[in-house]
Amino acid sequence: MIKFLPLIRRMVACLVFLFFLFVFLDFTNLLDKQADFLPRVQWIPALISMSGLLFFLFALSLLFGRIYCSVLCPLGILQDIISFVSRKIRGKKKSRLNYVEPSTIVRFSIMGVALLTFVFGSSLVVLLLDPYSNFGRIASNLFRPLYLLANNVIADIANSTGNFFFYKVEITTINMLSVLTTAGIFLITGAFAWFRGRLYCNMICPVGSFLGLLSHFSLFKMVFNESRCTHCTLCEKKCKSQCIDSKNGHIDQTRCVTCFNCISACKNDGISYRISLPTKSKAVQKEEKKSVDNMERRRILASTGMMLLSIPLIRAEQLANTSKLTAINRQTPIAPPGAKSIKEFSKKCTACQLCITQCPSHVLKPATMHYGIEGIMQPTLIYTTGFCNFSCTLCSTICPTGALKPLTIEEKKTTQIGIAHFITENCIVYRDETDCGACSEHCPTQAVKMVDYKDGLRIPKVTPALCVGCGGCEYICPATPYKAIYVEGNGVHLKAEKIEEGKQEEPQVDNFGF
Amino acid sequence: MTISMKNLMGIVWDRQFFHSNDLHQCIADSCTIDKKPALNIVDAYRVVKTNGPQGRSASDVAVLKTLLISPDFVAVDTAAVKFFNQVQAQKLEDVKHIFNGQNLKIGTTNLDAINIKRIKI
Repeated sequence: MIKFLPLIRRMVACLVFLFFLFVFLDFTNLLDKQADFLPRVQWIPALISMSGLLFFLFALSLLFGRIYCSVLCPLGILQDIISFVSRKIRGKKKSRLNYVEPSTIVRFSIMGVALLTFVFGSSLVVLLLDPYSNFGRIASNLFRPLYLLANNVIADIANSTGNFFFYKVEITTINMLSVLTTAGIFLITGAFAWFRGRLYCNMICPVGSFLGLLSHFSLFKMVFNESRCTHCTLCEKKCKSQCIDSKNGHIDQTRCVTCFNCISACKNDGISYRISLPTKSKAVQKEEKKSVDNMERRRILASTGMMLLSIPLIRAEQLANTSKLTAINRQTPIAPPGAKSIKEFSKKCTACQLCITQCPSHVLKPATMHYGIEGIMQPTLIYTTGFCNFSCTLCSTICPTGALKPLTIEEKKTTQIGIAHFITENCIVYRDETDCGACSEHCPTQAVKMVDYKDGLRIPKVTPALCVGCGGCEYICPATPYKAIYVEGNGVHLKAEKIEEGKQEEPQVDNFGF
Repeated sequence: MTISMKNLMGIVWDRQFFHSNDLHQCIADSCTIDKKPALNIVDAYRVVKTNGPQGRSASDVAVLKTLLISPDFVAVDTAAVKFFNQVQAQKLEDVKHIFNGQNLKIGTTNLDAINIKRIKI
């Protein structure tokens, strides 16, 4: 039975991985409000949102060790897949691993920096290191475009043969900064996994380091059966965490991800997974002594990190190339509804891009420098290819970190994420003296209304108090090169006024009028 | 005014082009299509009179219980504007696409020249 554990582990991991892939690749919104099911069962989102699932995660870790890393973490599973491919390509001999000493200083320094910067109000380090968010970005920035492209090719072929089950989709949520950053992270994690198994998880990942600390206290552990072990090193070579020192009969519990490979590798039942209460080994005591020095190190590292983070944001001046027109110079970015305030939102968002992939109007896109360097790749509303649907609350309800607070449809309809601004000199009605009114037609709240201008023409007028900042007007405005109406974001989201509903009239008209 | 002529705007993919290139002329131009509607039925049972096209509440709607039918969409639009003018002031001259349509010879605004049946129930 115990020999089947790795197989069961692989099966569960595959199911979890397929679910995650589907969440980030699906463009049909099949999961809708259930898309957050597994993203919520992730350490960093659960910690940031302080959700009740933390009890489950703690219980899981305190009972079974770092099983999260093995079957729940999508980045961990992805690395296992990469290792698997590497083993197939490079051959068993070359891909054998041996025990190595832990990189204690590096891993806990990184964890310390992530923790300190987060406590001091910057999510950048956490954003760049959270394994779930990294997987989210890898899937949505690298895999998703390829998936959509493949779909389009299939749709082309199918449509030309008279099959209309498949349909083409536009790839609109691509952002070069986000793609390049993600590609960099993917290459690094991929290289780690290709050559060294779970080294990334045991050296860089802050969740891995934290769970390493926690796994000291876990009930079940991998333990050598001194009487049966022949120190043959079979388990050591199979250990992807390189944490089994077969010769000395020692297992570094902080790095063990509970993959059960060692158990199935052993021909002698020399290693087993059983209840083992925490005892302080000499090595641990030595580490504790070291950790005092580490604290100093961590402080230095953290302060360096903070200095880097305070690099001011440089905005390129937009130059108007047409003298009579006014270029749009948006001062404040537009944060998704449910963000409440950009500052609070940016602090909690780990840029997993779940909302970006799920947004039915494709208006959410990864930010470049919109929120400053600390908010790179976090979602922002960009109205070039769509606008925020008046009665949609999807992003706010599926956010696993709680950076976006859930909104009801009624709340959403009065949540003012920004305010439309009208630039008369860019407007078609002013420039060409012809009718337009596209912005007013798209406005769901009557914040943009057409008022009498001249010679029977009507021109838009904005009532800021009514505007919710959905961007319908900006999206549809036909003026080029600069839109005549655009949304300026609200740093703190406000409540828009609502027009009172009147009654339907039944005027008496007795004549035809013609 | 969205009546029968502007209804044909639905056949156009890039409506932003309409809005940026003399909307009224574009509406009239689209009505010169070879495959014109054989009959235009203007449903004026419930009419949006303010805050169109979305409206903000029921107060934007007037119940007029009227139906206008004609094979000539310039004529039926002319009649519809004149009828609507009784509920809310709307100068016929301001609905320019009707006159642009007449210039393109796709119909007439001269309602006296055509045979009209006015029926009250």
